[in-house]
Amino acid sequence: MTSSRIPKDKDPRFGRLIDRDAPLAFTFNGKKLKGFAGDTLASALLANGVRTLARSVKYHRPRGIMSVGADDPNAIVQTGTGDLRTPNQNATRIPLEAGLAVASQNAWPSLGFDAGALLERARPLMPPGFQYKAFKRPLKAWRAYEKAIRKIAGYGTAPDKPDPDRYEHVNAHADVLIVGGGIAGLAAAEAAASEGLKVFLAEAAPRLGGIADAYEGRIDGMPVLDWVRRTAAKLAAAENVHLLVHAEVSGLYDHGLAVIVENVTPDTRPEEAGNMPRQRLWKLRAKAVVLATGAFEKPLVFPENDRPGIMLATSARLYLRRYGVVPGQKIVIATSSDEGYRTATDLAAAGADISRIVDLRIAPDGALFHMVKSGGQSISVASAPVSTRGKGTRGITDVTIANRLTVDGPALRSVMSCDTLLVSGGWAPAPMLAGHLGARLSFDRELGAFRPGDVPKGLIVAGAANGKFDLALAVGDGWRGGVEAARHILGAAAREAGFSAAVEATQDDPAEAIGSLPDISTPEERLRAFVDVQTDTTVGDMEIAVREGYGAPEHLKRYTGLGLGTDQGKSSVANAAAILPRLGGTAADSSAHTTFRPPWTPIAFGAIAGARRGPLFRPVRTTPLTHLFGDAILEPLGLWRLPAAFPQPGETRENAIRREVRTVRGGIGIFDASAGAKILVSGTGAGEFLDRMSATDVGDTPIGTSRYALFLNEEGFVIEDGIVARLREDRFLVSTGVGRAASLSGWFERWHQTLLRDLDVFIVDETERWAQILLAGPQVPELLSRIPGDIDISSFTVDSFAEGDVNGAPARALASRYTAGAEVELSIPAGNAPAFWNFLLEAGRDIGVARFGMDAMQRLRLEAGAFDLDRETDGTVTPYDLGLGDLVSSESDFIGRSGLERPALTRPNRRHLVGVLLDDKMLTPPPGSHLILDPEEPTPRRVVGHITTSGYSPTLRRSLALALVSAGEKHLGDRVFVMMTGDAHGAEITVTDFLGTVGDDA
Amino acid sequence: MLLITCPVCAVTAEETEFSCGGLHVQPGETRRYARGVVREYWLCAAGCGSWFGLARHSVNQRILGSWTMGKEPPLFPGETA
Repeated sequence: MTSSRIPKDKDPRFGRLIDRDAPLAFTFNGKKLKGFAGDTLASALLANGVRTLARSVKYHRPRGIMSVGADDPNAIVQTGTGDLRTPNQNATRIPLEAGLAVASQNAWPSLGFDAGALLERARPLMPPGFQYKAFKRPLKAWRAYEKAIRKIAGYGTAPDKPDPDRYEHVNAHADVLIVGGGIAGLAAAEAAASEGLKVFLAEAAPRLGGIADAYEGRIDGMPVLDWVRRTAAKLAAAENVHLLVHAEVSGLYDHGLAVIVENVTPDTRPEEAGNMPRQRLWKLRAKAVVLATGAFEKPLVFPENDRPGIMLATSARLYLRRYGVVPGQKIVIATSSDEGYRTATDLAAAGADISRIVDLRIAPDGALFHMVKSGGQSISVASAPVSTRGKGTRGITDVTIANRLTVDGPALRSVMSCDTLLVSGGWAPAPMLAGHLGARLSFDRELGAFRPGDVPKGLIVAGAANGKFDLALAVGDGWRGGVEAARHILGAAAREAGFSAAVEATQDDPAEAIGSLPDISTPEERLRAFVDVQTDTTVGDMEIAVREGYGAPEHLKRYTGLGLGTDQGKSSVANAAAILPRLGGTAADSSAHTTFRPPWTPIAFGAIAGARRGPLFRPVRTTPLTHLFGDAILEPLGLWRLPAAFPQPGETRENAIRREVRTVRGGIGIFDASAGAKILVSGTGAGEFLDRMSATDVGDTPIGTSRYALFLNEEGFVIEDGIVARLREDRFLVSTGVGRAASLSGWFERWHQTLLRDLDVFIVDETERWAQILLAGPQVPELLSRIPGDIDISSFTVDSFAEGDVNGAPARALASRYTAGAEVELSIPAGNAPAFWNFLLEAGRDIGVARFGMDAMQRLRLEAGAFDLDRETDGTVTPYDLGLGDLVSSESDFIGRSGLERPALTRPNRRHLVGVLLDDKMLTPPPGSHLILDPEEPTPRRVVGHITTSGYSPTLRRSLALALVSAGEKHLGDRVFVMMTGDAHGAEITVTDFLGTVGDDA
Repeated sequence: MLLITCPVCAVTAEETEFSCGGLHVQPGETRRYARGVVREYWLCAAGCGSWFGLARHSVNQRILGSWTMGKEPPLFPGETA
């Protein structure tokens, strides 16, 4: 026999949450099963006798449900299919829905026959850290190893299609956030709300009350559950309280921020969900936070303690009380606290056979112990389970117990057959969320668990999370938490009323902080005594880690995987901390634990993204002309989407680029340069300001002319280049290349507001106001002569600038110099741009005017040897490296001057920008290719530089490349070799001005 | 995530509405980030567009104060020069 549902009329106390008149069909690994409305997935699986849900991650041992809550390490499943598949879900947290499709994770090829289980036989080969040792050589084989390891050790499968569900984000503010809606949380909410504070309570489960339904006792004269209902109703009716259920606080952050994931619609198809999101992510700011997150029952650590059929005692009681499920018929209970007796009483009432209660304590003397004992129950005190046996996926078949007072002697061991073993190692508080704010928890030896230690101000831990487990203590401590939160916010104005209602409950005998029993086991047995069931970490593994020098908690975690699972070690952190010092690791009471980080339980990427996905992920910037480029290849550049090339029908991209380049060199091309920044700098201090901002002297530029200038950061590296034109005595226009508009005006603004704030300067970013059209090619003067307007460009020289009227609109014209040919940039108001663009195409039709894109512009600049900001400068390149030292002012004190004078930036062997011409004219080395001096040199060879830009030049009919090469300026004409996919290709170092130096000799 | 108040336009908003400009140092000064109180430049990026100064504790993230440019306050408690 395994777990099953008890008959309907057995006892009204059992099956409180399920509606037996509302059956729900669902599937588990394709098998059709039935549950009831009100079930969780875990309880429905138990009711159907499903024992094994998953295979463990490393040894592929069969594993079943151990707990009723978030701490369950085994019941990790994936729900849904196809695009709705959600991996890594905890079956104890999923409300059962009709049609829910559930699949095991980590069982390949199937749950029953698991090829990976053979791994268990290979376990001597897999000690902790084996992955660091075994798969190291040969290095190249790692990819193959990794593929195989991933298949065996995966945690579910990510969906391969976009998530069709909707998610939304909500921002909210409150005075007090209460995390957890158990009795402590409810009392805290009541206390804080009675002070008139705005209270927000978030409960992870779909109901309030926590595990109050696992206990008898009365609060304020009524049964606990009735008190929960009355308090919840009172809070729900209060205007200053917001109750959120089925909403998990997944992280706490600085300044009172809490991230809460609320489950709104269950896992049904999105079309049935209507307008509701699947999950809602709350970003809540609270002035004070009360952690009433309760406690986790500690499992016992002994050899073979991970079989299906081994469950936590209180969880078993809750499965019975809530869902009418008994975990088995022949039950042994091993406990170090009174919880085992409570569970025994319940299960006996439900008709199960409790073969034996094994109490780890030497002399239990509580009321519950005596009550159960007088009822005739067979009890072994001072005893402990030391081993179990089982049959694969069917789970445990017997348990061996031994007397703890006689250290080792097989005679004192006895074997009992059973189908279920319920364990309880006492409670461990769960204030781990405090760790998100950097709090360290302190280890309490009496308790055998961590307690909140030094927590930040405004954070209050209350109830079981504070180590107050008994009913009376928990509810009273919860109230105190609410009062303290109010005092934190209101100061002396807060009233200080204590919890007044009377609480009647049985007092528990203290649990013993046993944790584990390495003292009565052999090393082989310890290798099978699981501490962290989810990551397959045993006491023996911890021993090995300590022996190999990884005994500190953070090291141990990485070396063994302890606490690295999706459950973040909820069931293991306390036991591991108790065991570690005994193995010679770091002492636990030095409050050494690994860092707790968000999220507390796994959350969906969809919830994090919210509505910011697809086109809403980030805005797309378009120029006033982008809508005309339906036929172009558009590519992103920063936030912009810009035309890369304008291929004609049937033309490849490369051919389009070459045609566009030829058009510019032989006729005329037009280019949308609107994405470049246009920054107007005016005021009496404008000239001085620009002299400070630019490495080039620009303040004395004559009116009506322009200058090419470099802009550096404080370190002396080039961050931007552009053309500075002087419009009037006190007015300058800075135009840059395409793509970086926001940063240069922001950079100007920053210095203007901070260190140069005494200068009379106004900075206006006019980028959006003007469209910029660049005309390039020998036919430019001809086309310009056909444009009506009063700008005379016939006398334009390389630094000319003019304002006037073009085609009926105000315009600016600038002689620019990107392509090393005749070139004019016209700025016209954004609204006039589309008409003007079409006018230019029409007016120049007979002289073959054609549009060209970013790629052709890139190629034209390469031919001219002009550097490109995104390629040749990577934030570590100075003007001298680019061969542009004569642009650096010798007089003015500009930003970057002191940086430029640092020794490291003036070393002669810095990498300089040079040209590289390969012997093979048709070979184009990809950017990033290394340059070496001698291919015969044994590896590792000395790398003297790398290719930054490359491409085929239709003008020079050969491929060209720019490279940054060590002391390149001194090696012009020298031979180097370009490494491409392992082969060395001979090449020559040249100057960058290809157009002026390379003969068209092809 | 920090909650910051701009001393220029007085808006209180999330850290993501602002932009941190690094340590508040004078030119030529070589100060590094340290445990304890740090002074930084911040930009009210989604608000008034002003740069301002802000003192923050780099461990517990408490904000000790903020100021408009040129009105740098004297040492805060616990701050070392």
